[in-house]
Formats: sequence, structure tokens, C-alpha cells
Amino acid sequence: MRNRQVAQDALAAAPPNPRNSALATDVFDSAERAIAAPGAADAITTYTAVDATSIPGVVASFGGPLGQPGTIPPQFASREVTTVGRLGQTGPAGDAGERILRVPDNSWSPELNALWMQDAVNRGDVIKLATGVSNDASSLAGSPARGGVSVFTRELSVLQAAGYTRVGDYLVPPR
Amino acid sequence: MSADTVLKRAQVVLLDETAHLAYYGSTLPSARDDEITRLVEDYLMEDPPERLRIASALSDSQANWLGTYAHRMALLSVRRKSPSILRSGIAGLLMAAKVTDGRDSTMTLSVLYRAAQLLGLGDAAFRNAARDAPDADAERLLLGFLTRADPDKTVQAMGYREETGKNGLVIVYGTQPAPADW
Repeated sequence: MRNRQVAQDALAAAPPNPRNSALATDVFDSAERAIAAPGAADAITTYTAVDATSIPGVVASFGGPLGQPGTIPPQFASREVTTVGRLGQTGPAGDAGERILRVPDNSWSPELNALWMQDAVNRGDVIKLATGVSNDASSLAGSPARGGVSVFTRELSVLQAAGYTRVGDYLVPPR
Repeated sequence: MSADTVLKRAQVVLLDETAHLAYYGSTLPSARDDEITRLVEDYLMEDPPERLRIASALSDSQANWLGTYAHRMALLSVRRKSPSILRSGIAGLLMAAKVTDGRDSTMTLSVLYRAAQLLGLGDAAFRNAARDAPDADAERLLLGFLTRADPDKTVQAMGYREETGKNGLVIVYGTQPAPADW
């Protein structure tokens, strides 16, 4: 992917940060796995097609603030945990060692984001929410000029389409 | 004018979400655009620490409004052939950049960049606007856009489509119809 080189160049130009480099490598590896697997095109379509009319459904599936009771069901205990949310909240999570989407800004694209999300679906990852799910600008609602939703909503829509459900502050796959 | 005064005016000018959709679809330009332009100008008059304080204190809803404003100014700048209108739009996006998810900001940057191309300004529009950023992170977001691979700078790569409407340039997301008043 051309973005991988753009990301590597940006990371090389910045002060060395092994954590950022590792996270970026992980994102691009994820995207390349997703492209090679079934479901990539559908994930991109789902991701880009989301608009404000999708919000009620996402709230119905995953709605609620953080701090909900419940933990990862035992049958998913061995799954990788990927943290999803708005960048302002996933950033600290990533710095604390959680698996998040972090690439240099100049290499991010909607397609990359959708593929990263789809790879998590393909692997059956458990998703940890870093942002509460609500129909407002702090969560799902975005500028009408950007389709009326945030990027976070687009990510959740890929998970919703894959049949994920919420348990506590986690989203778990259907199997 | 102090940062507190600017923030108080922001509460008046940048309304809640119930009015946001109507603002987005309103005629270009609208009276609300003029009010937001004055708000952005007030932000720019502040020294850097106060700009950062303003940018950091905006609500998510206010930041979304500024994102919509930036998009509208991108279109208007091309219709009016006005680099200064584009500069206001970029400044509005930068003002919101501390609160807005960087990925959402990047989408709007593609629209502003397209406007810069159509105005014949190219990369210089972003470089000249960098000093309007509230901090180094926002400046990096803006200037970093210029280092994207060319195909990834386009509005189409971000999910938009570009059209020519009855009044000029129209850029809208996905398959949603262009607002009738544009």
C-alpha cells in the first residue's frame, strides 16, 4: 500500500517512537490481511455509506456510556482486544499499551480505516470501547458536511454489520 | 477581546445540533456564515496561548459547526474567487482541530485543499495558514496533509463527489443530494 511508505517516511522524520512505529506497522499489516480476505469490499462500502440515518441503529446495537457492567465472556477470553473510539480517547489507550488504530495523519484514509476494522472482524477480535456510544457530537454525530457522522460511527457500523453485540464496555463477535 | 469573550460569543454563534443541519444546507453565503467568520477573526486576533485556550475549550458540537463552516467556505471561496474566504475556512478548521477527531478533520482538509487547487493557490494556501493553528499538533495536521500521496489528497479519496451546481462548485459526501439552496 502506498500509504505504508508515506507513514514510514513520516515516522522517520519524527522523533523516534517505537510504539508509534509498531502501531502503524500493525495497522498496515491488518489492512493487507483484510484486502486478501473476503469481506474487504463490503467493509469499505459499509464504512463509507454510513450517514446520520444509521445512528439510531448503532445506538440500538451498542448505545450507552462507558462504565457499563459486564466483562469479556469466557468463550472470548483468548481473543485479541482492539480498542476503538475517537482519537482523543484511543490515544491514551494506545500509549498505555492497548491495540488501537494509530498511523501518521498523512497516511490515514477511510479505506485504510475500514480495512483495519474488517481485519479485526475477520480475526474475531473483542473490541474495547474507548468512547461512549451516544447520538451526540461527543460520539456518533458529525458535521453534515461529512455525512452527519463521525469516523467512530463508521467503525462501529462495520462491527454492527458483522453481528457484534455489546457486553459491558466491550463489543463481542457473534462467534 | 479576551478568550473568554470569544468563547461566550461562540456559544451564541455556534448553535446546538438542532440548527446545524439547517445551517449546512443554507444559502452560500448566509448570515450565520458571516457571524462565524467574525468569530474566527476574533480567534485570530488573540495571541497563541489564548488561541489554544479557545480551541481547547470548544465543545464537540461547536467543533462540528466549525467543520461545516470550513466546508462551506471552501465552496464559497471558489465561487467568489477569494483566497481570503478560503483562509477563513482553514482557520475555522484549525480552531476546531483540538477537539475534532483528526480523521474527521482530514476529510475536510481534502475539501479545503481542492478549493486551494481551484483557486490556483496550491500548497501555499495551507503553508500560509499554518500560523493560524492553535498549537503545533494542529499545524502538523494541516501541513502533514501536503505530504499525502497525491491520490490520497483528493476529495474522492475521502468519499466526496464534486459537481457544478447552479451557483458553482459543490462538494458533497457520498450519495447524499446537494442542498437545494447551494
